[in-house]
Amino acid sequence: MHRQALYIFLINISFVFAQINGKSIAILDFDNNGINKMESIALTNIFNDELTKTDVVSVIDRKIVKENLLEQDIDQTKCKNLGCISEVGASLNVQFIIDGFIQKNKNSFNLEINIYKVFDAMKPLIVTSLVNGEVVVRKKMKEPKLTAIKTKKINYKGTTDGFIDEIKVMAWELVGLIRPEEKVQQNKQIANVETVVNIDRYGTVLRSTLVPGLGQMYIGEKTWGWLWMGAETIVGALAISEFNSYKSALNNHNAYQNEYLLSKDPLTIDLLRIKAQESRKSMIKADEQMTSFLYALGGIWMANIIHALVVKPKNPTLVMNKPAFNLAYNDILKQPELRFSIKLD
Amino acid sequence: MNFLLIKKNYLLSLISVIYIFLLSCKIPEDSFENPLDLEANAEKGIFPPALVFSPDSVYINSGESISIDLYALAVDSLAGAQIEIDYYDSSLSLESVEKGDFFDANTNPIFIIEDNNSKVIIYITYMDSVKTNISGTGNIATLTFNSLIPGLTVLSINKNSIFLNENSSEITINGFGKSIINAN
Repeated sequence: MHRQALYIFLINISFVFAQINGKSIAILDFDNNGINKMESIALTNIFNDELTKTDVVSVIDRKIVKENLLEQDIDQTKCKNLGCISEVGASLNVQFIIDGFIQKNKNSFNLEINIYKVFDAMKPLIVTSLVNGEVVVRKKMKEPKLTAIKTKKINYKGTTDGFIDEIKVMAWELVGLIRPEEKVQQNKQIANVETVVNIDRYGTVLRSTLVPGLGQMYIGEKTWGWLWMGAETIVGALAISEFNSYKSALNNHNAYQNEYLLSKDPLTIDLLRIKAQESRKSMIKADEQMTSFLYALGGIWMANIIHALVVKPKNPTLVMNKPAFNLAYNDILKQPELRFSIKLD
Repeated sequence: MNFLLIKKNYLLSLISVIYIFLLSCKIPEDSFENPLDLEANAEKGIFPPALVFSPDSVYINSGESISIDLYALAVDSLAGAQIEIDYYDSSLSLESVEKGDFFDANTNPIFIIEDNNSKVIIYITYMDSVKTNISGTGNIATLTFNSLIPGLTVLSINKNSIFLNENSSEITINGFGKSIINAN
């Protein structure tokens, strides 16, 4: 019995979705209570935009709706009867009309929306015929009660931002879809994106002390970071190279000295003495060069630390870490998206 | 995290590494002490032709034996020699004297030893059937001493030593070497 009821319910639901999806819809300004008209229109626009994003219904531009109804002198919020719905539907050439009612009481928000099928509203009320040149009413039908094919409600307690999120969720649910979680996360990120990153000056200096240039990179000064790191690496490599030359000359010197002491041939002794002296000269030269490079290394290292101490962060916010223009594929809308951001400080 | 501690430790280790790096670059002093090195001998005032010992200084333990080579250094037209070597017989005792290879030829040289307590005299004559003399640097003899007591003792070449050419004319000897034996 319960299962049967569930099947009937699901069939009805899918029937409603099937009725709406792929059809043209016009949204009228939501009526309001507890908020002003401007706020009500803004919330209606949010609902309209979100429903458009679902890409399963053809939503008429709100501007067109407004202009059209103004021409006919129709107040959107008061359009609640068959005649009005019929008239609006006909003039906008849409299959469905959505209206709504927003009520705010302290932190409590209520939204009720109704979906009307324009075709139902366009049924004739009387049947007439022409008899002897006069119009004669042949049949007068009882005016049907205007009933929405679907009504949805939100009862929300909390902040306005939360209520807006709920409206967006409702728009997706109305067409039988679930609002993607990614989108929610993205919105949260956008909300947080203006948070200024607290630059840790001590952390910057410490990083530069540990690895020259790392602190600069940490605060976004990548060019400086690479510069310091590169300079330190090059000078360090040169110092190591000179150290290797020194070691090589030292080994040669020791070898020549040993051979010299053991040799009994005066000519060989002469040759070995000269070689040992040359090795010693090379050793001294390499040592002097290495010492110079080590001093340079220390100098660069100190300069890098001082620079890390005084340099101003190039990109103090997360926003600024991103390029001004972003071209990305939006998974939610299933289309490429060009983003543009402007630095406000 | 204690950044101050990390920084302090890091600085200490960095300074240590640099210090070790610099320490490892000690330049050793030149030590040209080969007794057959003409340049080194010249610095000591020994000019060729000369008579020198190799090694010219040696460390041994008391009671041990030590062999010291006697060299003729950069001599020209040498045919014979009389070499007197002085030593302290209270510190050293002569064990043996072996002929070196400098006078070797197709006929063995005349080689006579005279040990007179604290002085050993070597007589040597070149006996080649073709050549009449030899030139250059070479080992004349190898003397083996036994160290008797601990202490420093000097083995020296007496200035009465003489070099002769094939005409029995004396060749002036400009340098007389020494060998210092340090017995522990």
